[in-house]
Amino acid sequence: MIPLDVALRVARKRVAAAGAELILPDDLRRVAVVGLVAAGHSLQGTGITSDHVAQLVTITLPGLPGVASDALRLIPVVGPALASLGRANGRSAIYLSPVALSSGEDLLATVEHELGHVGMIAVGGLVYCGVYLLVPEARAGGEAPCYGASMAVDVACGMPLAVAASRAKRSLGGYGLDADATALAHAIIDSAAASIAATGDCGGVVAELRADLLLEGVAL
Amino acid sequence: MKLSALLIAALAAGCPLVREGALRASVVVSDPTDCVPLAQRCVAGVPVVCSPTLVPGSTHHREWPSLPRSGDGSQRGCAGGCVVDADSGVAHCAPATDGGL
Repeated sequence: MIPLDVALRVARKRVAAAGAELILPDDLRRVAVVGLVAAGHSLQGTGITSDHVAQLVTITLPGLPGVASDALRLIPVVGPALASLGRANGRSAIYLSPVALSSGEDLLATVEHELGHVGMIAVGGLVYCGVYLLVPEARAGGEAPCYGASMAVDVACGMPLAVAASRAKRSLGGYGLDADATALAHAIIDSAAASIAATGDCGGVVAELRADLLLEGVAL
Repeated sequence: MKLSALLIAALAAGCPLVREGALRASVVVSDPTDCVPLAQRCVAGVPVVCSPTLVPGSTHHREWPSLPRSGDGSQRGCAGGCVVDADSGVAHCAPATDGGL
């Protein structure tokens, strides 16, 4: 068992090392993000409620350079709020959901998932974010490897691999993927699961986490 | 400004060629390649999956890695090498070997 306070210290350290910021559920900035994401779901008619987003959804948003932030401000109604969020020191930020703090294990699995997105944003910038939002294939190719990261942590913490893979595939149903993108995402999950079965890891996610936890006196 | 608005509208409307243009502009998305949908292989020590989505105006598809990126943006790879299972066709990382003593 990983104590929550230890997991939070490790998570903060790993997120800071990636040049990003970890925002807790009770932070006012997350309240604003929940409102914006819920409004987006409402406009698209996805059926996902504000309460669902508030309780269950962890979100990573990019930091914005000054010019992009100024441009966002021009969007009617939600623009100023988006601009102030994106400008948070110009760094990407992970807005944790309450459920991500259910346990130390859940927190670390969630943060490792989100760090994959932080990495994609670090390289791809705002262009990637736009592509992610608008192209189902890009959402599948962006989300599924990140689920591989959280699966690896879940399995290292004792969850059966089949359960972790099944949960990941079920979660991918909430990303508006078409049939081709869903098939791609599931194949990526199968590949990640095979890597976890063979190595106990997903490209070094668990090895890095294990090393950081050991510094806190916790064995994974 | 008008051009940006048109671009966003075309993307939102699902115009395949505009979507393709956006994908090509994103440095984290691979170039189209001649692969078989859902076939898996190893590229530079990373397992990849061929997307079933056809690139507009071509017979090509894109390959997507099954390993996440690190927080610093670098693509994670397999420390012990990447293999393709002969029976299932699934590409995955292989266990690292220590050389033995």
